[in-house]
Amino acid sequence: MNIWAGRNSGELDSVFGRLRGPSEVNEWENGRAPHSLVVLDAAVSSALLEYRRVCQASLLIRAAQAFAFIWAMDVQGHIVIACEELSDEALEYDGEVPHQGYPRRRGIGSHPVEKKKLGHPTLVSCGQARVAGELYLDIDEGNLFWFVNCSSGRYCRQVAPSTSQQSAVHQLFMELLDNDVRWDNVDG
Amino acid sequence: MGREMLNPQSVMNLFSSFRPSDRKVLAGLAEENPKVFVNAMELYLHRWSEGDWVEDYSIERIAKWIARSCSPSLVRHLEHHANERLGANSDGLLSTVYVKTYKAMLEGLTKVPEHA
Repeated sequence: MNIWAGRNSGELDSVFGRLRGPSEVNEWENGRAPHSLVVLDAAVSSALLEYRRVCQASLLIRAAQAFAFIWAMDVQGHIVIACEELSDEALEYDGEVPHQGYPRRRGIGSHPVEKKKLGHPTLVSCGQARVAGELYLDIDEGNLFWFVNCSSGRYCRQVAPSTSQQSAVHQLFMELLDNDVRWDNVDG
Repeated sequence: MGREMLNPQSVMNLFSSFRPSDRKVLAGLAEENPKVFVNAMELYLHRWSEGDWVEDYSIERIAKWIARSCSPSLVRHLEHHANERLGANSDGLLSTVYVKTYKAMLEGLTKVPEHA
């Protein structure tokens, strides 16, 4: 359970960061939301834990590393999360987008420039967030672990979360998932 | 490191993905075969610079990691590369995406982040 959801804005400002708008919204993101967008509640937490467990199987262990989730903390302190999805409007046919919701594949065999994506702003209707980042499975010593960071280019690049805010994010994801969640210190 | 990994295209994939397991391989490669590392990074930047959009924050993130994790000579080489590419725009005719690509690289190699 997210014990921070619904807490007063002063507390949330201090622990996770003040609200800020995205530094940039790409034209293909305006008015769009990921097909998979949900609030990270108890049911989604259970699903993510179960997902990691089943993906340790040889059948799935590589495939599970092929895409990432993106997350953001909204105004009220809820964590919203989605698969990082492709934005392939070019495929629209008769009002439908056949590949809507397809995950953006990790950069293997292609360059990221080839496929546009729905990034962090689309998690919060291109509005404000306190902090945002990625959640993904990566391998360490033969096992998959959840890794989390707050490395959103649009919300955390210009004003980077402090060390204590990063720790609060890590702690929150350990509470939402389990103590095996690892911190991805990609920003140093 | 396997021979197949020494292809700059394959190494470039690691910059695109850039997870902890990728960074472990990249850190080893930067020491053992800096030429391939540099070629792959230059290829990664070149592909972005030719596109119609760019994730400049991803480039900056990689550049910051390189500045922290790699040898000063490798950092200097990439800094020179980015400066040289930006110099090619002295007449201002190259695309915004091109300029953003190499500016992000330079900024990442030198920038100290501001904290909330």
